[in-house]
Amino acid sequence: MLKGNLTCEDISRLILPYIDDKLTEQKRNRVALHLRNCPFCMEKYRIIKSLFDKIKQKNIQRAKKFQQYKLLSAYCDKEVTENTKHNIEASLALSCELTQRAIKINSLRKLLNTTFEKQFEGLELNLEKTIIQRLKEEKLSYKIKKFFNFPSR
Amino acid sequence: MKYDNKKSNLDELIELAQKGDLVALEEVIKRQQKTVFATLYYLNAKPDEIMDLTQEILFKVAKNIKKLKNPRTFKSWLNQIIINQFYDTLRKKQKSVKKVCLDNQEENKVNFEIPDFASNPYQKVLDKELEHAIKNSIYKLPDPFKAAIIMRELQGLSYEEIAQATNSNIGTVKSRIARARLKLQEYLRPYIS
Repeated sequence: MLKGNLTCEDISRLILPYIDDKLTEQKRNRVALHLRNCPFCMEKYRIIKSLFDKIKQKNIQRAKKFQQYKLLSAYCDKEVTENTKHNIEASLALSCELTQRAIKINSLRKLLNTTFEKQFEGLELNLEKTIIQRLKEEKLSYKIKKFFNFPSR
Repeated sequence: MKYDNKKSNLDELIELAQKGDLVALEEVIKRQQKTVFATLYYLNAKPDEIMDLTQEILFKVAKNIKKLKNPRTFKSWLNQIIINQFYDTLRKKQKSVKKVCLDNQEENKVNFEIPDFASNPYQKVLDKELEHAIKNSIYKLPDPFKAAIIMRELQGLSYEEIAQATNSNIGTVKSRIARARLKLQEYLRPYIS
């Protein structure tokens, strides 16, 4: 159907850039005109748009949740400013969910720290003498090389 | 000798080492070797290469310690060396042609086990399982997350020190540590109460 100088097939192609607001003003107006006059395309637009809105909303929520988690994680490491620390502590007092998340971060930290400690506590490497010896040998070999190269100018 | 090496703090020892004091340098190496080894272990260095890599890194530290401008940035500097050396070796290995060993491979296989000193055998098994789970979970993380979480949890570096070591800003470090923690929480769910 040709409405607003665009066919329904054109609309199928333009509907995503239209929702993403990636069309020129002129093209956007022509798509809008077609949608106003074509119930079939309008219905299609509504379904896709509501799906996109849901995804967008979910992404915003996810990003917000991550921002909150990031702050909480930095708070557990004592890497936040005094002001942020007070704000987080106030939120922790009010939200059970947030407190649970903080507890989980601390449990993970404890788990990693104790495992790391246990894993290497009996390990004896004794590399220091070898390293110093190697350093001395290299210095000596450098001096010898320098000595023998020096006269051959 | 007017100072006691064993009691001196790291900054003092580094300053002395920078002035050419080999006894102080030896003490610095002694204190840092386990950190280097453990970091490489969790970065997943090959068991038969981990000792050589540790030695190479410590030798670089000993050789270049005079070039370090501020002793307080030692930990970041050390980690820069660890990361560069580790990924350099990895890159070189990927470039080199794979050699096929015609000898019995089982015989040449180097068995690598870190000594386990837990006394209770049941606890020993549990610890081992948990350690494997942690190592595998860290291995699954993307490289920048892996390095950040190792520096934080294994070495206890501050966000600023991690930022310096990885040539990034504190915001990025914050994100990487948080993302690593989210992933580790997911992978290690059965072990986190």
